[in-house]
Amino acid sequence: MSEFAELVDQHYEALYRFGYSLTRSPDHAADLVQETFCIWAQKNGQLKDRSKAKTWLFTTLYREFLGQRRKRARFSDEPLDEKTLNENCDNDDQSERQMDGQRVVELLGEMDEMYRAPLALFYIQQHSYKEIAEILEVPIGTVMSRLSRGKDLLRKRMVQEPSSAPKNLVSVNPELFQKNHG
Amino acid sequence: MDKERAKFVLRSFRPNGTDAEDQDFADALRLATSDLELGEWLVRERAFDAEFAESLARVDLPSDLRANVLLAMVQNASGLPGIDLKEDKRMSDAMAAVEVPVGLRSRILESMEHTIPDRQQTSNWWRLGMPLAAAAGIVFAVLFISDDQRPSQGSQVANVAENSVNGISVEELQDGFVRVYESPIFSLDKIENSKVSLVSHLKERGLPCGDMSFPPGLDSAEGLGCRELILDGKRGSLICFDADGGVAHLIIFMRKDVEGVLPDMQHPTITQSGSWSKASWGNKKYVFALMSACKKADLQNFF
Repeated sequence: MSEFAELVDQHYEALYRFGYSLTRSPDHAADLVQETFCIWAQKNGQLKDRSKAKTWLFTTLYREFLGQRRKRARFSDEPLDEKTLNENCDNDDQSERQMDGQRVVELLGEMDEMYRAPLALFYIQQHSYKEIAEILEVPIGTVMSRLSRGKDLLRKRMVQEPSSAPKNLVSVNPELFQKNHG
Repeated sequence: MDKERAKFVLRSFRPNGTDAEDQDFADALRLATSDLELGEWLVRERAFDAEFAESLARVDLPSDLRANVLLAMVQNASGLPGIDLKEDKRMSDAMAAVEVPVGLRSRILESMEHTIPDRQQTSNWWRLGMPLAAAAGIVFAVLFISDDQRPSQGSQVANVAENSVNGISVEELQDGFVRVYESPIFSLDKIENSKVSLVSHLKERGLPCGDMSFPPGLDSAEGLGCRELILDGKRGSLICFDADGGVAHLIIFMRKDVEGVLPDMQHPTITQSGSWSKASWGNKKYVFALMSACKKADLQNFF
Protein backbone atom coordinates (compact mmCIF):
# COMPACT_ATOMS: atom_id res chain seq x y z
CA MET A 1 0.00 0.00 0.00
CA SER A 2 1.44 3.37 -0.92
CA GLU A 3 2.21 6.05 1.60
CA PHE A 4 -0.73 8.11 0.35
CA ALA A 5 -3.24 5.31 0.71
CA GLU A 6 -1.88 4.33 4.09
CA LEU A 7 -2.21 7.85 5.41
CA VAL A 8 -5.72 8.20 3.99
CA ASP A 9 -6.78 4.90 5.52
CA GLN A 10 -5.43 5.86 8.92
CA HIS A 11 -7.12 9.21 9.24
CA TYR A 12 -9.95 9.87 6.81
CA GLU A 13 -12.69 8.47 9.04
CA ALA A 14 -11.76 10.52 12.10
CA LEU A 15 -11.22 13.58 9.93
CA TYR A 16 -14.66 13.15 8.42
CA ARG A 17 -16.28 12.90 11.85
CA PHE A 18 -14.43 15.99 12.99
CA GLY A 19 -15.47 17.83 9.83
CA TYR A 20 -19.05 16.63 10.20
CA SER A 21 -19.16 17.81 13.81
CA LEU A 22 -17.90 21.22 12.75
CA THR A 23 -20.12 21.72 9.73
CA ARG A 24 -23.12 19.44 10.40
CA SER A 25 -23.11 18.79 6.68
CA PRO A 26 -21.97 15.47 5.20
CA ASP A 27 -21.10 17.17 1.91
CA HIS A 28 -19.09 19.91 3.53
CA ALA A 29 -17.35 17.42 5.76
CA ALA A 30 -16.41 15.25 2.78
CA ASP A 31 -15.13 18.32 0.92
CA LEU A 32 -13.04 19.35 3.89
CA VAL A 33 -11.48 15.91 4.17
CA GLN A 34 -10.72 15.87 0.46
CA GLU A 35 -9.19 19.33 0.53
CA THR A 36 -7.13 18.47 3.57
CA PHE A 37 -5.54 15.48 1.89
CA CYS A 38 -4.96 17.44 -1.31
CA ILE A 39 -3.06 20.06 0.65
CA TRP A 40 -1.07 17.27 2.22
CA ALA A 41 -0.28 15.88 -1.23
CA GLN A 42 0.99 19.28 -2.32
CA LYS A 43 3.07 19.84 0.78
CA ASN A 44 4.08 16.30 1.51
CA GLY A 45 7.80 16.93 1.38
CA GLN A 46 7.56 19.71 3.92
CA LEU A 47 6.36 17.37 6.59
CA LYS A 48 9.44 15.38 7.51
CA ASP A 49 8.27 14.08 10.86
CA ARG A 50 5.68 11.45 10.11
CA SER A 51 4.54 11.32 13.72
CA LYS A 52 3.15 14.82 13.22
CA ALA A 53 1.02 13.84 10.24
CA LYS A 54 -2.13 13.23 12.29
CA THR A 55 -1.96 16.56 14.10
CA TRP A 56 -1.06 18.31 10.86
CA LEU A 57 -4.10 16.86 9.08
CA PHE A 58 -6.53 17.86 11.81
CA THR A 59 -5.01 21.33 12.08
CA THR A 60 -5.26 21.76 8.33
CA LEU A 61 -8.88 20.63 8.24
CA TYR A 62 -9.75 23.02 11.05
CA ARG A 63 -7.98 25.92 9.32
CA GLU A 64 -9.78 25.11 6.10
CA PHE A 65 -13.07 25.11 7.96
CA LEU A 66 -12.32 28.49 9.53
CA GLY A 67 -11.13 29.87 6.21
CA GLN A 68 -14.24 28.74 4.36
CA ARG A 69 -16.47 30.08 7.08
CA ARG A 70 -14.80 33.45 6.88
CA LYS A 71 -15.42 33.49 3.15
CA ARG A 72 -19.01 32.52 3.58
CA ALA A 73 -20.32 34.08 6.75
CA ARG A 74 -23.51 32.09 6.50
CA PHE A 75 -21.59 28.86 6.57
CA SER A 76 -21.76 28.13 10.30
CA ASP A 77 -25.47 28.81 10.39
CA GLU A 78 -26.33 26.47 7.60
CA PRO A 79 -28.79 23.87 8.76
CA LEU A 80 -27.95 20.25 8.85
CA ASP A 81 -28.21 18.73 5.43
CA GLU A 82 -31.91 17.90 5.82
CA LYS A 83 -32.16 15.88 2.68
CA THR A 84 -29.36 13.60 3.67
CA LEU A 85 -30.64 13.36 7.21
CA ASN A 86 -34.12 12.43 6.06
CA GLU A 87 -32.76 9.87 3.66
CA ASN A 88 -30.79 8.32 6.45
CA CYS A 89 -33.59 8.50 8.98
CA ASP A 90 -36.10 6.98 6.58
CA ASN A 91 -33.92 3.99 6.16
CA ASP A 92 -34.96 2.00 9.21
CA ASP A 93 -32.62 -0.79 8.31
CA GLN A 94 -29.82 1.52 9.30
CA SER A 95 -31.66 1.57 12.64
CA GLU A 96 -30.65 3.39 15.76
CA ARG A 97 -26.94 3.28 15.08
CA GLN A 98 -26.98 5.97 12.46
CA MET A 99 -29.50 8.15 14.30
CA ASP A 100 -27.47 8.11 17.47
CA GLY A 101 -24.43 9.27 15.61
CA GLN A 102 -26.34 12.04 13.90
CA ARG A 103 -27.93 13.19 17.14
CA VAL A 104 -24.51 13.50 18.65
CA VAL A 105 -23.38 15.53 15.68
CA GLU A 106 -26.47 17.71 16.03
CA LEU A 107 -25.78 18.26 19.70
CA LEU A 108 -22.20 19.20 19.02
CA GLY A 109 -23.28 21.40 16.16
CA GLU A 110 -25.62 23.33 18.44
CA MET A 111 -22.78 24.16 20.79
CA ASP A 112 -21.01 27.45 20.53
CA GLU A 113 -18.10 26.96 18.20
CA MET A 114 -15.52 27.65 20.88
CA TYR A 115 -16.64 24.40 22.52
CA ARG A 116 -17.61 22.46 19.43
CA ALA A 117 -14.15 21.81 18.02
CA PRO A 118 -12.43 20.73 21.27
CA LEU A 119 -15.41 18.57 22.25
CA ALA A 120 -15.50 16.87 18.85
CA LEU A 121 -11.78 16.16 18.98
CA PHE A 122 -12.07 14.91 22.57
CA TYR A 123 -14.87 12.51 21.71
CA ILE A 124 -13.12 11.24 18.60
CA GLN A 125 -10.59 10.12 21.22
CA GLN A 126 -7.56 10.18 18.99
CA HIS A 127 -5.99 13.24 20.57
CA SER A 128 -4.83 14.15 24.04
CA TYR A 129 -5.84 17.55 25.33
CA LYS A 130 -2.32 18.73 24.53
CA GLU A 131 -2.71 17.63 20.92
CA ILE A 132 -6.10 19.29 20.77
CA ALA A 133 -4.42 22.52 21.90
CA GLU A 134 -1.89 22.10 19.11
CA ILE A 135 -4.55 21.42 16.50
CA LEU A 136 -6.72 24.34 17.51
CA GLU A 137 -3.70 26.54 18.14
CA VAL A 138 -4.85 27.62 21.59
CA PRO A 139 -3.16 27.25 25.01
CA ILE A 140 -3.50 23.93 26.81
CA GLY A 141 -5.33 25.59 29.71
CA THR A 142 -7.86 27.00 27.30
CA VAL A 143 -8.59 23.54 25.93
CA MET A 144 -9.09 22.17 29.42
CA SER A 145 -11.44 25.04 30.28
CA ARG A 146 -13.41 24.62 27.08
CA LEU A 147 -13.71 20.88 27.55
CA SER A 148 -14.87 21.30 31.13
CA ARG A 149 -17.33 24.09 30.37
CA GLY A 150 -18.39 22.55 27.08
CA LYS A 151 -19.24 19.22 28.69
CA ASP A 152 -21.31 21.04 31.30
CA LEU A 153 -23.24 22.88 28.61
CA LEU A 154 -23.69 19.71 26.59
CA ARG A 155 -25.22 17.91 29.54
CA LYS A 156 -27.43 20.80 30.49
CA ARG A 157 -28.78 20.84 27.00
CA MET A 158 -29.50 17.14 27.17
CA VAL A 159 -31.22 17.55 30.51
CA GLN A 160 -33.36 20.38 29.16
CA GLU A 161 -34.21 18.48 26.01
CA PRO A 162 -33.87 14.78 26.75
CA SER A 163 -35.27 13.93 23.34
CA SER A 164 -32.26 15.52 21.76
CA ALA A 165 -29.91 13.18 23.52
CA PRO A 166 -28.60 10.16 21.71
CA LYS A 167 -30.71 7.15 22.49
CA ASN A 168 -27.99 5.39 24.41
CA LEU A 169 -27.54 8.43 26.65
CA VAL A 170 -31.18 9.17 27.51
CA SER A 171 -31.17 6.72 30.37
CA VAL A 172 -28.75 8.87 32.33
CA ASN A 173 -30.55 10.31 35.35
CA PRO A 174 -31.02 14.08 34.89
CA GLU A 175 -30.95 14.63 38.63
CA LEU A 176 -27.56 13.09 38.80
CA PHE A 177 -26.41 15.47 36.13
CA GLN A 178 -27.72 18.46 37.93
CA LYS A 179 -26.27 17.30 41.19
CA ASN A 180 -22.88 16.47 39.82
CA HIS A 181 -22.49 18.78 36.89
CA GLY A 182 -24.90 21.56 37.40
CA MET B 1 -4.97 19.35 44.52
CA ASP B 2 -8.53 19.76 45.74
CA LYS B 3 -11.57 17.93 44.49
CA GLU B 4 -12.77 20.67 42.13
CA ARG B 5 -9.36 20.98 40.51
CA ALA B 6 -9.23 17.20 40.11
CA LYS B 7 -12.60 17.24 38.36
CA PHE B 8 -11.42 20.01 36.09
CA VAL B 9 -8.31 18.03 35.12
CA LEU B 10 -10.12 14.72 34.73
CA ARG B 11 -12.62 16.18 32.30
CA SER B 12 -9.80 16.11 29.77
CA PHE B 13 -9.18 12.43 30.48
CA ARG B 14 -10.24 10.39 27.47
CA PRO B 15 -12.77 7.66 28.19
CA ASN B 16 -10.86 4.99 26.28
CA GLY B 17 -8.06 5.10 28.84
CA THR B 18 -5.41 6.32 26.41
CA ASP B 19 -4.33 8.93 28.93
CA ALA B 20 -3.87 6.48 31.78
CA GLU B 21 -0.09 6.69 31.52
CA ASP B 22 -0.05 10.48 31.27
CA GLN B 23 1.57 11.82 34.43
CA ASP B 24 -0.49 15.00 34.20
CA PHE B 25 -3.50 13.01 35.35
CA ALA B 26 -1.67 11.02 38.03
CA ASP B 27 -2.45 13.31 40.98
CA ALA B 28 -6.11 13.67 40.06
CA LEU B 29 -6.51 9.92 39.53
CA ARG B 30 -4.80 9.22 42.84
CA LEU B 31 -7.24 11.55 44.58
CA ALA B 32 -10.14 9.81 42.85
CA THR B 33 -9.06 6.47 44.31
CA SER B 34 -9.03 7.85 47.86
CA ASP B 35 -12.12 10.08 47.66
CA LEU B 36 -15.34 8.11 47.31
CA GLU B 37 -17.43 10.96 45.92
CA LEU B 38 -14.78 11.93 43.39
CA GLY B 39 -14.35 8.29 42.43
CA GLU B 40 -18.07 7.90 41.79
CA TRP B 41 -18.12 11.14 39.82
CA LEU B 42 -15.26 9.86 37.66
CA VAL B 43 -17.07 6.61 36.94
CA ARG B 44 -20.16 8.50 35.77
CA GLU B 45 -18.07 11.00 33.84
CA ARG B 46 -16.23 8.27 31.98
CA ALA B 47 -19.42 6.30 31.34
CA PHE B 48 -21.07 9.34 29.80
CA ASP B 49 -17.99 10.23 27.77
CA ALA B 50 -17.60 6.67 26.56
CA GLU B 51 -21.18 6.51 25.35
CA PHE B 52 -21.00 9.89 23.68
CA ALA B 53 -17.75 8.93 21.96
CA GLU B 54 -19.28 5.66 20.86
CA SER B 55 -22.25 7.49 19.37
CA LEU B 56 -19.95 9.81 17.47
CA ALA B 57 -18.04 6.84 16.14
CA ARG B 58 -21.31 5.53 14.73
CA VAL B 59 -21.59 8.35 12.26
CA ASP B 60 -21.66 6.63 8.92
CA LEU B 61 -19.17 7.70 6.34
CA PRO B 62 -20.05 8.39 2.70
CA SER B 63 -19.26 5.16 0.91
CA ASP B 64 -17.27 6.94 -1.78
CA LEU B 65 -15.31 9.24 0.51
CA ARG B 66 -12.09 7.27 0.51
CA ALA B 67 -12.08 6.75 -3.25
CA ASN B 68 -12.80 10.43 -3.86
CA VAL B 69 -10.04 11.54 -1.53
CA LEU B 70 -7.50 9.32 -3.27
CA LEU B 71 -8.67 10.40 -6.71
CA ALA B 72 -8.53 14.06 -5.78
CA MET B 73 -5.03 13.60 -4.43
CA VAL B 74 -3.94 12.10 -7.71
CA GLN B 75 -5.41 14.98 -9.65
CA ASN B 76 -3.92 17.47 -7.28
CA ALA B 77 -0.49 15.93 -7.49
CA SER B 78 -0.75 16.09 -11.27
CA GLY B 79 -1.75 19.72 -11.27
CA LEU B 80 -5.19 18.97 -12.66
CA PRO B 81 -8.31 20.63 -11.30
CA GLY B 82 -9.91 18.95 -8.31
CA ILE B 83 -13.31 17.36 -8.25
CA ASP B 84 -16.30 19.43 -7.25
CA LEU B 85 -18.61 16.86 -5.76
CA LYS B 86 -21.53 19.20 -5.35
CA GLU B 87 -21.56 20.66 -8.83
CA ASP B 88 -21.04 17.36 -10.46
CA LYS B 89 -22.97 15.13 -8.14
CA ARG B 90 -25.26 13.62 -10.74
CA MET B 91 -22.34 12.73 -12.91
CA SER B 92 -20.48 11.33 -9.93
CA ASP B 93 -23.45 9.17 -9.00
CA ALA B 94 -23.67 7.84 -12.51
CA MET B 95 -19.95 7.23 -12.59
CA ALA B 96 -20.13 5.44 -9.27
CA ALA B 97 -22.24 2.77 -10.91
CA VAL B 98 -19.50 1.99 -13.39
CA GLU B 99 -17.55 -1.12 -12.54
CA VAL B 100 -14.04 -0.25 -11.44
CA PRO B 101 -11.42 -2.22 -13.35
CA VAL B 102 -9.38 -4.66 -11.33
CA GLY B 103 -6.10 -3.11 -10.33
CA LEU B 104 -7.20 0.48 -10.97
CA ARG B 105 -6.55 1.55 -7.41
CA SER B 106 -3.00 0.24 -7.60
CA ARG B 107 -2.41 2.02 -10.89
CA ILE B 108 -3.73 5.28 -9.43
CA LEU B 109 -1.46 5.03 -6.44
CA GLU B 110 1.43 4.10 -8.70
CA SER B 111 0.86 7.14 -10.86
CA MET B 112 0.81 9.29 -7.73
CA GLU B 113 4.26 8.06 -6.90
CA HIS B 114 5.45 9.03 -10.36
CA THR B 115 3.85 12.45 -10.45
CA ILE B 116 4.59 13.74 -6.99
CA PRO B 117 7.36 16.34 -7.20
CA ASP B 118 10.88 15.29 -6.25
CA ARG B 119 11.68 15.84 -2.62
CA GLN B 120 14.80 16.11 -0.59
CA GLN B 121 16.16 12.70 0.24
CA THR B 122 16.16 13.63 3.92
CA SER B 123 12.40 13.20 3.92
CA ASN B 124 12.68 9.50 3.12
CA TRP B 125 12.32 8.28 6.67
CA TRP B 126 10.23 5.25 5.87
CA ARG B 127 12.71 3.34 3.81
CA LEU B 128 13.37 0.47 6.17
CA GLY B 129 16.71 2.03 6.88
CA MET B 130 17.89 1.27 3.40
CA PRO B 131 20.74 3.39 2.11
CA LEU B 132 19.57 5.85 -0.48
CA ALA B 133 20.95 5.64 -3.96
CA ALA B 134 21.03 8.39 -6.49
CA ALA B 135 20.73 6.81 -9.86
CA ALA B 136 17.54 8.25 -11.28
CA GLY B 137 17.37 9.35 -14.83
CA ILE B 138 20.31 7.55 -16.36
CA VAL B 139 19.12 5.28 -19.11
CA PHE B 140 21.30 2.61 -20.54
CA ALA B 141 19.75 1.71 -23.84
CA VAL B 142 20.75 -1.65 -25.14
CA LEU B 143 22.61 0.00 -27.99
CA PHE B 144 24.93 1.80 -25.64
CA ILE B 145 25.87 -1.15 -23.52
CA SER B 146 29.41 -2.12 -24.34
CA ASP B 147 30.10 -5.43 -25.98
CA ASP B 148 31.42 -7.07 -22.86
CA GLN B 149 28.13 -6.33 -21.12
CA ARG B 150 26.00 -7.96 -23.79
CA PRO B 151 25.11 -11.62 -23.54
CA SER B 152 27.96 -13.48 -25.14
CA GLN B 153 27.40 -15.49 -28.27
CA GLY B 154 28.03 -18.66 -26.34
CA SER B 155 25.65 -17.91 -23.52
CA GLN B 156 22.24 -19.38 -23.47
CA VAL B 157 19.72 -16.82 -24.52
CA ALA B 158 16.19 -16.92 -23.29
CA ASN B 159 13.62 -16.79 -26.03
CA VAL B 160 12.51 -13.49 -27.44
CA ALA B 161 9.31 -12.25 -25.91
CA GLU B 162 6.17 -13.20 -27.72
CA ASN B 163 3.45 -10.59 -28.14
CA SER B 164 5.85 -7.90 -27.05
CA VAL B 165 4.91 -5.29 -29.64
CA ASN B 166 4.06 -2.87 -26.87
CA GLY B 167 6.44 -4.36 -24.38
CA ILE B 168 8.64 -2.45 -22.02
CA SER B 169 12.41 -2.77 -22.26
CA VAL B 170 14.49 -4.10 -19.41
CA GLU B 171 16.19 -0.74 -19.10
CA GLU B 172 12.85 1.04 -18.80
CA LEU B 173 11.87 -1.48 -16.20
CA GLN B 174 15.05 -0.84 -14.21
CA ASP B 175 14.74 2.94 -14.50
CA GLY B 176 11.07 2.72 -13.57
CA PHE B 177 11.97 0.88 -10.40
CA VAL B 178 14.52 3.57 -9.46
CA ARG B 179 11.88 6.28 -9.99
CA VAL B 180 9.38 4.46 -7.82
CA TYR B 181 11.94 3.59 -5.17
CA GLU B 182 13.24 7.11 -4.91
CA SER B 183 9.78 8.64 -4.82
CA PRO B 184 9.03 10.28 -1.46
CA ILE B 185 5.96 8.12 -1.05
CA PHE B 186 7.59 4.78 -1.73
CA SER B 187 6.33 2.00 0.49
CA LEU B 188 5.92 -1.76 0.49
CA ASP B 189 2.62 -3.61 0.37
CA LYS B 190 3.82 -6.31 2.73
CA ILE B 191 6.71 -6.33 5.16
CA GLU B 192 7.80 -9.84 6.00
CA ASN B 193 11.03 -11.80 6.36
CA SER B 194 9.79 -15.04 4.88
CA LYS B 195 10.44 -15.25 1.15
CA VAL B 196 7.78 -17.90 0.81
CA SER B 197 5.21 -15.59 2.41
CA LEU B 198 6.20 -12.73 0.16
CA VAL B 199 5.91 -14.86 -2.95
CA SER B 200 2.54 -16.17 -1.76
CA HIS B 201 1.35 -12.62 -1.18
CA LEU B 202 2.27 -11.67 -4.75
CA LYS B 203 0.80 -14.85 -6.18
CA GLU B 204 -2.51 -14.28 -4.42
CA ARG B 205 -2.75 -10.92 -6.14
CA GLY B 206 -2.08 -12.38 -9.54
CA LEU B 207 1.36 -10.83 -9.78
CA PRO B 208 4.40 -12.46 -11.36
CA CYS B 209 6.33 -14.22 -8.61
CA GLY B 210 9.15 -15.97 -10.46
CA ASP B 211 8.26 -19.41 -9.06
CA MET B 212 11.04 -18.96 -6.47
CA SER B 213 13.60 -19.34 -9.22
CA PHE B 214 15.98 -16.79 -7.76
CA PRO B 215 19.77 -16.31 -8.02
CA PRO B 216 21.75 -18.51 -5.61
CA GLY B 217 23.02 -15.45 -3.76
CA LEU B 218 19.52 -14.75 -2.54
CA ASP B 219 19.13 -18.19 -0.97
CA SER B 220 20.59 -17.07 2.34
CA ALA B 221 19.09 -13.57 2.20
CA GLU B 222 16.09 -12.73 4.32
CA GLY B 223 13.12 -11.02 2.77
CA LEU B 224 12.29 -7.45 3.72
CA GLY B 225 9.05 -6.91 1.89
CA CYS B 226 7.29 -6.82 -1.42
CA ARG B 227 4.92 -4.73 -3.47
CA GLU B 228 3.22 -4.44 -6.80
CA LEU B 229 5.17 -2.51 -9.40
CA ILE B 230 3.25 -1.05 -12.33
CA LEU B 231 5.36 0.34 -15.14
CA ASP B 232 3.92 1.52 -18.41
CA GLY B 233 0.68 -0.26 -17.58
CA LYS B 234 2.43 -3.59 -17.01
CA ARG B 235 1.99 -5.25 -13.64
CA GLY B 236 5.08 -6.62 -12.01
CA SER B 237 6.47 -7.43 -8.61
CA LEU B 238 9.21 -6.09 -6.41
CA ILE B 239 10.75 -8.18 -3.66
CA CYS B 240 13.34 -6.58 -1.38
CA PHE B 241 15.98 -8.74 0.30
CA ASP B 242 18.36 -8.13 3.15
CA ALA B 243 21.40 -9.73 1.55
CA ASP B 244 25.03 -9.96 2.70
CA GLY B 245 26.12 -7.25 0.32
CA GLY B 246 23.28 -4.91 1.30
CA VAL B 247 19.68 -4.53 0.25
CA ALA B 248 18.87 -6.16 -3.07
CA HIS B 249 15.71 -5.52 -5.06
CA LEU B 250 14.36 -8.22 -7.32
CA ILE B 251 11.97 -7.04 -10.02
CA ILE B 252 9.84 -9.62 -11.79
CA PHE B 253 7.66 -9.06 -14.83
CA MET B 254 5.90 -11.40 -17.20
CA ARG B 255 8.03 -12.29 -20.21
CA LYS B 256 5.28 -11.27 -22.60
CA ASP B 257 5.34 -7.74 -21.20
CA VAL B 258 9.04 -7.17 -21.78
CA GLU B 259 10.62 -6.85 -25.18
CA GLY B 260 14.09 -7.83 -26.31
CA VAL B 261 16.42 -10.76 -26.04
CA LEU B 262 17.52 -11.79 -22.57
CA PRO B 263 20.15 -14.17 -21.28
CA ASP B 264 19.30 -16.91 -18.81
CA MET B 265 20.02 -16.71 -15.09
CA GLN B 266 23.43 -18.35 -15.42
CA HIS B 267 24.58 -15.59 -17.76
CA PRO B 268 22.89 -12.38 -16.65
CA THR B 269 23.56 -8.99 -18.17
CA ILE B 270 25.18 -6.90 -15.46
CA THR B 271 25.68 -3.15 -15.73
CA GLN B 272 26.48 -0.26 -13.46
CA SER B 273 24.61 3.03 -13.59
CA GLY B 274 25.50 5.64 -11.02
CA SER B 275 25.43 3.96 -7.65
CA TRP B 276 23.10 1.21 -8.87
CA SER B 277 24.29 -2.14 -10.10
CA LYS B 278 21.77 -3.90 -12.31
CA ALA B 279 21.44 -7.46 -13.47
CA SER B 280 18.82 -8.79 -15.84
CA TRP B 281 17.87 -12.17 -17.23
CA GLY B 282 14.79 -14.10 -18.24
CA ASN B 283 13.18 -17.42 -18.92
CA LYS B 284 10.16 -18.41 -20.95
CA LYS B 285 7.73 -17.11 -18.38
CA TYR B 286 9.39 -14.27 -16.50
CA VAL B 287 11.86 -11.42 -16.79
CA PHE B 288 13.98 -10.60 -13.77
CA ALA B 289 16.09 -7.61 -12.79
CA LEU B 290 18.19 -7.53 -9.67
CA MET B 291 19.14 -4.06 -8.46
CA SER B 292 21.39 -3.06 -5.62
CA ALA B 293 23.27 0.04 -4.54
CA CYS B 294 26.61 -1.78 -4.65
CA LYS B 295 29.53 -2.36 -6.94
CA LYS B 296 29.01 -4.34 -10.12
CA ALA B 297 31.38 -7.03 -8.90
CA ASP B 298 29.35 -7.44 -5.71
CA LEU B 299 26.18 -7.95 -7.70
CA GLN B 300 27.96 -10.56 -9.78
CA ASN B 301 28.41 -12.59 -6.59
CA PHE B 302 24.69 -13.24 -6.43
CA PHE B 303 24.94 -15.53 -9.47
